[in-house]
Amino acid sequence: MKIVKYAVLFIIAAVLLYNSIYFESLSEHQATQEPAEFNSPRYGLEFWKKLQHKLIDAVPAPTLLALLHRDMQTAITKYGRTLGVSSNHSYLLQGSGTLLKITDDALLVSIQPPATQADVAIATAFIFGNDIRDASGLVAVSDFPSTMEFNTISSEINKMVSNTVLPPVLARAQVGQRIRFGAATTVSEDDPQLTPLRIVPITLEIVD
Amino acid sequence: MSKLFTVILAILAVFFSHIVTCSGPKTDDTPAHIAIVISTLNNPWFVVLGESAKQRAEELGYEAAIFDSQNDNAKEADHFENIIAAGYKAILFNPTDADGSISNVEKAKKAGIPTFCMDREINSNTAAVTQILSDNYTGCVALGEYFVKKLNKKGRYVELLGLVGDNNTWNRSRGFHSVVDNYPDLKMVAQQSADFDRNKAMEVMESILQAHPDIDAVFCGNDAMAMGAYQAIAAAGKAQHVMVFGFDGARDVIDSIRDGKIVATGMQFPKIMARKTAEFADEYIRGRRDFEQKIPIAVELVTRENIKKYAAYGKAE
Amino acid sequence: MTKITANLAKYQSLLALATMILVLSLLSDKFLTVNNGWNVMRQISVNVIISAGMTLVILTGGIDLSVGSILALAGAVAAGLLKNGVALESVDLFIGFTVLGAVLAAALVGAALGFFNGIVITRFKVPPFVATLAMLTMARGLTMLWSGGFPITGLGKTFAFWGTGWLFGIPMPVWISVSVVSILTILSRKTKIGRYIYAIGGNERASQLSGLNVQKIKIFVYTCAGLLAAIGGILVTARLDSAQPNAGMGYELDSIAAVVIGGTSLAGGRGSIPGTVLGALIIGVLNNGLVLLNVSPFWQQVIKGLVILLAVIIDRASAKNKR
Repeated sequence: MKIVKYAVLFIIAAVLLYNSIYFESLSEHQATQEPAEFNSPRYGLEFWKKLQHKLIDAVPAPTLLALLHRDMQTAITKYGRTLGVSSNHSYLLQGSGTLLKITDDALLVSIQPPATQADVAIATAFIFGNDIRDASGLVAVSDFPSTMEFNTISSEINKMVSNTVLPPVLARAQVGQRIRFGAATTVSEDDPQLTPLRIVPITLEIVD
Repeated sequence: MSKLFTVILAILAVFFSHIVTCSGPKTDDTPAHIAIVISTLNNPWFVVLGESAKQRAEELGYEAAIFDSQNDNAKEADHFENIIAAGYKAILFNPTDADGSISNVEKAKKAGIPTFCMDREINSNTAAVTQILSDNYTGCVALGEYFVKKLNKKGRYVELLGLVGDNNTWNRSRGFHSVVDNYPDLKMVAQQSADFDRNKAMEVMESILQAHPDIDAVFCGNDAMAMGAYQAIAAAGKAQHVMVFGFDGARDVIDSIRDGKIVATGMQFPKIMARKTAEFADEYIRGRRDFEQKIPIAVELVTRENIKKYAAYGKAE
Repeated sequence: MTKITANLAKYQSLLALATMILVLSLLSDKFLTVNNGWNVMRQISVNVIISAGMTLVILTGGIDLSVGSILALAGAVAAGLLKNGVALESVDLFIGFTVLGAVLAAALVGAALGFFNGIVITRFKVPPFVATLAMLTMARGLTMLWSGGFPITGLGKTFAFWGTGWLFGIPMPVWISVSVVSILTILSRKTKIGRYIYAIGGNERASQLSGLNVQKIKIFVYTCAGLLAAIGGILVTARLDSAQPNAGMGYELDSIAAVVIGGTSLAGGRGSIPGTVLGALIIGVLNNGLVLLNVSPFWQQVIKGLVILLAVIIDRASAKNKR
């Protein structure tokens, strides 16, 4: 009698277990799983390509700078982009100028003659913000289910600036050289810091 | 005895009805009801968020009620069911969890009740009408940058995390580390959780100071913890040497930055977010439908240099 | 004697519930609807399941503070196994879990932790309050370790059905809570072990002297409580389609409240599972009613506290009268 009881219990346990778990080779399993994570490097790279096209239409730096000084509101409506509700507005700009000074975290460049005053500071350190992403107008936060993904775009682009845009120029930059740039900047409406205007480079070259 | 119980319950019932009739404006045509579901009221920041939303909704002519989810996704689900049953017209919603709260919002949507998220997001672009969000990650990127500059890219620091099961704990921590981890001379000697709690932060900080008396800075995931950490550091006589950074823009921390005690915080704008959300709900009820899905509200860096512009939970008036 | 007082407590709770329902339906036309009825039933089902286990523990004169944490751990275990399975890299093996497998594993974890509580309490003579307080912290920590502090979401329709689905017009959680309550009511009323549970709570020393294996029964009771907390955790997770690492915080207090309002004495030996169900119903109706009546959340907590207090005061008074 006892044997029957144990046999029945065993069969029930076996059936339960059989229906509970299944085995696969781990490598095969991983191959069938689609990457659930947002592929930020790939997205960043595509974004970067589109960005180059956008830059062609970017406002000339002297125009923007003059307008920011003279009439902030027009600058915002004409050239600026704003993320959500914020007193910060971002701009894409392009231009060229004379390198006046190389500091720890910027290349100070004069974009208007006489080349004595530093008009823009091309950031070479602390490239962490959303300036490029927000200035580009290429992506909207509502395109992403999670803001975290939206934020990883910025960190991918910033990495590209720090790793590929800056090093070749920094290696041979010298005071007095002529520098051409395409860049993004963010200006606070309440507390604008315009001399020099800090800009984050997207393209950067020494033209001599 | 059962008689006694009944009598007391009857008294309680009268008491409820008293509370009920006292809340909300007394008008002849009954106004529409708006529900405000807040992740937790156990933190003054969220009380400000909820009360501001309620106040604005009432200004706009609605009757508004606040629900406390007590940081519990299941309690939040209960609230949503009750709200649907009670026939509220709209929900102003501060979710407990970006993923776990989606199903609740969808339930409301199915029942024809629009949901408007505020401060925290849900990871869905279709469930809520619109989401007014505080971008914690980006705020902490700015804070991280300031942190690195203040410390001159070198030093030993401690990080105090909020509730480890909370999204914003990690959004803040990741934003901060996305900057600070690029500087190898900045060494994190301890990373501990203090549950967003002032008292716990003080205790944790006291212990950490025993093991690491030579730290240069502390980054705290919210202002309550920054205050607690500062108290522990001051009690150890190190207030001059250790820089404390917070996040939120709470009253004590704004005062402390003004007094030169705490170095910086990230200002979120609960009042602006709450008011805006209430206004959107009103516009929706009146027929507007073209809402941006996500509207981030910038978190602003508050330091000793720009403290004049700020007051508790917002800009100086 | 025990039976009479238990019945009396039950009548009181019934009367209180009836009064509340009457008052609430007079105050709000949204209260007495079929839909809202299901809402309340579904909302209390997790508390009913946990409280049924808590009733057994309290009947023996003990207490279990760890149920909320065990609930969270079981939910996380079920969700984690279902979503990610187990990967054994050294032998290149992936073990996947079906819904049944994940549920069984979670139930097993809950029962095991309950068993551990029982062993600590009986073999090492640690007071139940302390032993389960320790488990409250440990199980929460294990939950955090297992989940990495993040919620586990996206568990599939089959699993979600157990929390959100309907069967023959009745929500699944209600089916499950009704089954649990029926089984435990029969267990406590009609079986030997049920009588022993009451006996231990009534007079532990006497039961021991009369040859009862007190330790074994206590271990059984705590294992039950752990298992039921795990079932609660599976339901919560299925309902939200998400295992939250900080789920279930404070649930031990809700369930103790249900037990106490339901007329079970914290000293043990007196009370019943149907009483506890009524207690949970009272809390659920109160929660739901206060919301429908638009009472401020701060007042809600005060009122709930008052109701618990009242229930115990009346229970005490009636117990004295009978003596």
